[in-house]
Amino acid sequence: MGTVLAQDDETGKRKRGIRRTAIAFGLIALFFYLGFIVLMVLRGSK
Amino acid sequence: MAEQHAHAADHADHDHKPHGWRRWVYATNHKDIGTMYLIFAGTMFFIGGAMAMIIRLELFKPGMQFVDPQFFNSMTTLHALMMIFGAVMPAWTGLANWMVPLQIGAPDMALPRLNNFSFWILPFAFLLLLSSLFVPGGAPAGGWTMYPPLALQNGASFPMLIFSIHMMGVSSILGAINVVVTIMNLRAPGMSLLRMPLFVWTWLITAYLLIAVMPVLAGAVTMLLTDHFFGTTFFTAAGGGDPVMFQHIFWFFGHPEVYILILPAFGIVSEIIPTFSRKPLFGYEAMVYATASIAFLSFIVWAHHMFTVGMPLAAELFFMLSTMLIAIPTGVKVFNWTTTMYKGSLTFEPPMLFALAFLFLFTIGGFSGLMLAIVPADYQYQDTYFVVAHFHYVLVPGAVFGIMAGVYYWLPKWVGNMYDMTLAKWHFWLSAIFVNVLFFPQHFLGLAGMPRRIPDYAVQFTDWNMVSSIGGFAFGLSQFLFPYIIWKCVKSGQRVTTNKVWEGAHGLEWELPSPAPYHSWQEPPSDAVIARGAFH
Repeated sequence: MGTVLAQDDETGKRKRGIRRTAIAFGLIALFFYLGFIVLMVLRGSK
Repeated sequence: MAEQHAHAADHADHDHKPHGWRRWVYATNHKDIGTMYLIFAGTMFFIGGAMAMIIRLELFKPGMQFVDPQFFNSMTTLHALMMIFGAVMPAWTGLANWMVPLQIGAPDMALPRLNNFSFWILPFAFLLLLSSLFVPGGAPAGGWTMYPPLALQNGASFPMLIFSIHMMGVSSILGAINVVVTIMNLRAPGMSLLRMPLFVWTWLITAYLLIAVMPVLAGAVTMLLTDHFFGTTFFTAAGGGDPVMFQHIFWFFGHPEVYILILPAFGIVSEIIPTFSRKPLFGYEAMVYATASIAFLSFIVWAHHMFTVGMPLAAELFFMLSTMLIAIPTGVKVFNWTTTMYKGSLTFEPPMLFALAFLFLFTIGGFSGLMLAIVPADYQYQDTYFVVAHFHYVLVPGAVFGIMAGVYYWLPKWVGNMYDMTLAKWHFWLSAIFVNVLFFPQHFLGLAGMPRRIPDYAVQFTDWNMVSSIGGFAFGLSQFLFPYIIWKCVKSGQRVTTNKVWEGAHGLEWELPSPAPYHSWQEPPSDAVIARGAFH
C-alpha cells in the first residue's frame, strides 16, 4: 500500500512537472510572437 | 540471442496497438508518429526535389526553355519552403519522436495527444501551400524570405502562404515544446543531463531555438498580412514603415533556423562516428558546450545576411566578427569527430559513410560561410550563385546526409531487419559524387558573377550550369534508391537477431530488442542498464 502511494505521488509530481514545463515554454513562445509585433507598434507610434 | 529475439516477438504479440486507419489518425504512440513524420518528410523531399529538377532543367542552357519566369520564381520559392519546412524539419521531428524516448528511457513523449496534433497540422499546411499553384496569379514567387514590398505584390496566393507558414510554425513550436518537456521530465532515474546521448542534447538545444524563433517568424508574417489586408504600414515606406526592418526580423528567425536544421545532424554524427570507430566520443562535454555556444551565437549574427542593405560600420564589424566566432565551437566539433576516429578500429557501413561525407562536405559549406562573413568580400558574393552553393553544401551533404545517416543507423532497430548493404553503399556513392557535381560548380558561377533566382543567364555561364544540371539529375535519380532500400528492408530484409545491431554501439536504444517493442521502457531502465549504455 505504502509503495502504491509513493508511486502515485511520483506520478503526480511528474504530471505537475510536465504541465509546468509545457505552460512555461508555451508562454515563452507567446512572448516572442507578441514581442516583436508590440515592439514594431511602439516604434511606429513614436 | 535467440532468447532475446523470442522475447521481442512475445512483446510484439502483446502490443495492443490499434489497427487500420485509426492507428495513424488517432496515433499517440511516439513510434507511429515518428514514422508518419518520416514518411511525410520523404514525400515532401521528392516533391521539393521535383521542383529543383525543373529549376535545373530550365538552367541547363541559356535562354528560356520550358517554363515562364513567374513559374520559375514560384519553383525557387516553393522548393525552399518545401525542403526547409516540409522535408528537413519534419524529418528531424520524426527522428526525435522515434529516438528521444528510447534514448532517455521514457515510455513515450510527454504530451502524446499534442504530438498527434503537431503532426496532423503539417499535411494541411503543405496542401494549402501547394494548392496556391492553382490560384489566379500563381504560387508565391517572391522567394522564401518573403521580403516586402515584393512579397506583398503576390496575388491570391499571399494569404495562403501566410496561413501555411503559421500552421508550420504552430506545428514546430508544439513539437519543440513536447521535446523539451519530455527531456526535462521523463528521463529515467540515473539518466542525468550529462549522461544523455548527443542526439538528445542537440535536439534539446534545437527545441529551445525553435521555441524562441518560430514565433518571431509568425509575428513577422502576421505583420506582412496586416500590411497587405488591414492598412498597417509596418514595412511600407510610404506609410512611414521600414522594409529593411522586415529583413532584420526575418533573419533574427532565419539564422537560428539554419542551426535548427543542422544541430540534430551534429548529434547523429556524434553517435555514429564513435560506433564505427569503436571508441568513445572524444570530448563529450566539449561537444555539449560547443552546441550550446553555437546556439547562443546564432542569435547575434543575423545581419550578415543583409550586409549590402547598408548599415553602420560598427554594426558590420560586429556581425562579421560574431559570425566568424561560430567557427570556434564548430571547429571544436570537427576536431573531436576527427580525434574520435584517430587510432579507432574503423569500418565503413552506410551510416559511417554518410557521417564521413557529412564531415568533409559540411566543412566545405562552413568555410564558404566564413568567406561570406567577410563584409567587403560579401559585397561581391551577395545574391550570387556562390551563396546558393554555400547553403546547399550546408543543407544537402550537411542536414540531408545527417538524416540519411540516422535512418541507416537506426532502421534495423526500428523494423528488426537489416537493409541491403550493397544497395545502400550504391546510394551513398552516387549521392556523394553527384552532390558535388551539382553544387561545386555553383561556387565558380557565383564568383564569376551569376546572380541567383534568375531563369536565364549570360552565355559565359553555360558550361558550369550544364555540369551542375547533369549533377542535379543524377543526384535526383539516385535518391529513388533510398525509399526502395527502406521498403525492401521492411518487406524482406534479413532478420536482426541481436539488440545491439552495430558492434560498437552504445546507448539505451541498443538495450531494447530489435525491432523495438511497440511500448518500450514501460519500466524505466535500471542504473546498471543506463551505465552499460552510457554514452561516454
